[in-house]
Amino acid sequence: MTDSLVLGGKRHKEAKFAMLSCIDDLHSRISSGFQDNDSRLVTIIQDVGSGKTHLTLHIKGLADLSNTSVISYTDLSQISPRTVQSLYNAILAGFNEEDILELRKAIVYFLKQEAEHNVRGAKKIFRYGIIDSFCGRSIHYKAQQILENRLSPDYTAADNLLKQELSTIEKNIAKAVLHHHLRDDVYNVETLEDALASLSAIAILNLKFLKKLTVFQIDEFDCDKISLDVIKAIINAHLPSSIISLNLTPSAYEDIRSASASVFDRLEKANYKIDLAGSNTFEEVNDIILEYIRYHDVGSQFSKEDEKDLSSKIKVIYDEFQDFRNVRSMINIFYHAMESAQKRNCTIIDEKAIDDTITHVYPGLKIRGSIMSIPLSEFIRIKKDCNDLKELEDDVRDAVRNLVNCAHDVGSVSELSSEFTFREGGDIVYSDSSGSRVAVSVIMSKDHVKNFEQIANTVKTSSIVDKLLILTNSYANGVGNGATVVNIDRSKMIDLIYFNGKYEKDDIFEEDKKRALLLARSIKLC
Amino acid sequence: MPYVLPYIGISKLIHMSTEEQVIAKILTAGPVGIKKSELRKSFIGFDVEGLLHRLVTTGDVLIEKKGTSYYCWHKDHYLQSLLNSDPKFRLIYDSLRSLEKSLLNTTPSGSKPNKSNGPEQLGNNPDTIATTVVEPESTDLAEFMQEFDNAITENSNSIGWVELEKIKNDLSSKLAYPPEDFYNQVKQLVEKNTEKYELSTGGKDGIMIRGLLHGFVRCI
Repeated sequence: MTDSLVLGGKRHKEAKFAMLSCIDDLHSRISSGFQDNDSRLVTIIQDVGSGKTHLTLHIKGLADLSNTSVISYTDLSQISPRTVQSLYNAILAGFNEEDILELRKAIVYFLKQEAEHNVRGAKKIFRYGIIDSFCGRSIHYKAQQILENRLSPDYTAADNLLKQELSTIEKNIAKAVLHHHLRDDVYNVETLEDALASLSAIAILNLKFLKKLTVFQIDEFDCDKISLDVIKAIINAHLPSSIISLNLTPSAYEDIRSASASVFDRLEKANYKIDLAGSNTFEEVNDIILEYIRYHDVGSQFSKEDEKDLSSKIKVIYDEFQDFRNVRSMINIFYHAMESAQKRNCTIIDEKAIDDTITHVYPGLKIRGSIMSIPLSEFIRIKKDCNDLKELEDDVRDAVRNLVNCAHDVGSVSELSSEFTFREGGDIVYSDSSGSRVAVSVIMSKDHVKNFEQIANTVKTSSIVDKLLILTNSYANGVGNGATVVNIDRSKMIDLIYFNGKYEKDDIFEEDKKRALLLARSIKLC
Repeated sequence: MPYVLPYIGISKLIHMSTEEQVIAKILTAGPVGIKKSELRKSFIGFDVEGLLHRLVTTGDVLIEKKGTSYYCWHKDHYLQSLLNSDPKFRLIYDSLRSLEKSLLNTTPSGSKPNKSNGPEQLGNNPDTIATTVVEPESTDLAEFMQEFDNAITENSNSIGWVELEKIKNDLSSKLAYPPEDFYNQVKQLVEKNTEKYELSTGGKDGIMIRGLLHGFVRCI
C-alpha cells in the first residue's frame, strides 16, 4: 500500500484523473439532491503488468477521496472457492478499517443526537442513568466511552431505535458495525439476493451517515461463472450512490464475450472505460521509475542530470531487451538494481548494479547480436558515450586496426602495412590469406550524403589495392569497382569498441580471440 | 525554273534524312556515347555542330567532355551512362529510388507496390548493366504494416484489441501470406514501432514474450 502511493506515467495519471472525475461527478450529483440510487460502472482493461492494480490501489489510498468515498478493494484471484458468500466476504474485507470506524462513529453520534433530543429509549443505548446525571457525565461522554470500547452499548435499545430509521437489513448492518463485527454479516447471506441487499444497505448507510459514495473495486475480473453472475447482478442492481470498478485483461474481456453476452454487453456500455493504452512505452515506463525516486527524494537531491543519466540507462535496457518492455519487468529490474547499488553503498544506480541484477535475476540474458558477448554494464557504458560520431569513427578505426592485428596473430591475415597509407586519415591496409592487398576505410557521419560522397571518392582511388572494404553507418550498395560496403550498426560498433578496449589492456584470452576472429569475419575483414 | 522547286524539295529531304541519321547514330551508341569527332567524320559536309547545338538546346542530346574528347549521348541513355560511370551519382540515385518505393508503399491510393525481390533493370537498353537491388525486408515490412493496420481497423472490438489469430487468418486469405511468416513479421513490426502497437497476453496463438503467449494486439 505504501508503494501504491507513488503514481508515475502520463497515461496512468490521466487514467487516475478520469476515475477521480467519475467519483466527483457522482458525488456532486448526489450532494445536490439528485436521486441517491444513481450508480456508475467503470472498466480498466489492459495487459498484465501494465499497472491496473497499482492504479486502483493508488486511488483507494488517496487522502483527497476520504471526504467523498468509501472504497472496498477485492482481488478475485485470491478467492477460492468462489461462492456468493466468499465473494461477499471478500468485499466486506476490502473496506479500510478506518472507514468502518468512521461509520461506527457516525452511527454512535446519530444515536447520541437522538438521546440528547430525548427520543424515547435513546439514552438507554448509552446506559445513561440517574447516577450519570448526578455525576455530571454527559451523553457525549458516554458516547466517547463507547467509541473507545470502554463501554458496550445496549444493543436491544439500539435495535429498537434504529428500526424506526432504517430497513431491517440496514439496521442489522449498523448493529454489526457498532459491534465491530461487520464481516460476520456474511452469515446472514445465503443467496445472491441477500448479498445484493446487504451491499445496497452498506451503500445507503455510507451515504446517510457519512455523506459518501461507496466504490467497489473488483480486480482480476474473469469469466468464472460465479464471478460473472455476481458482478452481473451487482451491475443490474444499480446499487445506490455506488461505483463499480472492474479491472480485467483484454484476454478476459474476450473470454467474457464468449461466456456471457449479457455481461459483455454491460461492460461494453460502461459509463467510463479507462484506457491505459501505451502504458508500456518507453516514456511511460521511464516516468514511472523516476517518479519512485522523486517521491522519496527528501531534500531534492535527485537533479536533472541524475534523471538524464538514469533515463539513458533505462533506455538501453528498454531498447535491448524486448521482453522487458513492460512496467512490471522494468520496475523489477531497477528495484533490484537499486538494492544492489545500496549494498555497495553507491549513491546512484550504476552500470554495475544493473549488470549484477541481470546476471543474478536473469542469468541467461545476453546482449542480442553481440559476438564478443559484451556484458550489459559495458554495453551501457559504451553506448552512452556513442554520441559523437567523429570520435566513434576514430574509435572504430582503431578497433579495426587492432582486429587485423589480432587476426594476424592467429594467422588469418598478414601484418598491417605501415609503409603504405591508403589515404590520409590512417586507413588500414593489409594482405589477406590469398595475398591480395586489402584496404579498409571507415566512413561515419550523421550526414549520409557526405558519407556517400566520401565513399564514392574512396572508390575512385581504390585501383591501387586489390580489394577495398568500406565500413560505414550509411546504407549503401552497388558501388562497383570491386569495393565492398559493410553497413555496421551501433551494436556492431559497440562490439568493436569493447574488443578494442580489451585488446589494448592486453585482456584477450583464447575464447576472446575466437570471438574476435568471428567479429572480423562478420565485417568481412578476413 | 520548274526543276528548281523539286530540287529544293529533294535537297530538303536529304537534309532531314541526314539529321535523322545523326540522331539515330547517337541513339545506337547507347550509354557508351559517341565522340563528336566521329560524328563529324561520318557526316562530312553536314553541319553536325549546328545540329548538335540545336539538339542540346531542346534537351534531346547531351554532350560532355571525357578526357580529351567530347562525347554525345541521347537523352534516353545519358542517365544510364551516369549510373555506369559515377558511383556517387549511383548511390544517391539508389537512395532516392528506395525512398520513392517506400512512399509508394504507404500511399492509400491502392497502387500495388513492386513485389519483385530481384534486381530492377534501369532503362530499356538490353546492354544495361546497372541494377538497383531493392532491399526486400523494408519493402515487405512496409506492405505488411499497411495490411496489418487495415486488419486491426476492420476486426478490432470497441476497445481496440484484436486477436492475432484473426488477423493471421485474414491476411493469409487476402494476400496468400504464408502463416509461418506472419508472426515473424508481427514481431519485427511491433519491435520497430513500440509507440504504435501494443500486445497483450492470452489468446490461442501469438508471440512468446517473457515466456507468456501474447495473442492480442492493438494500435495505441
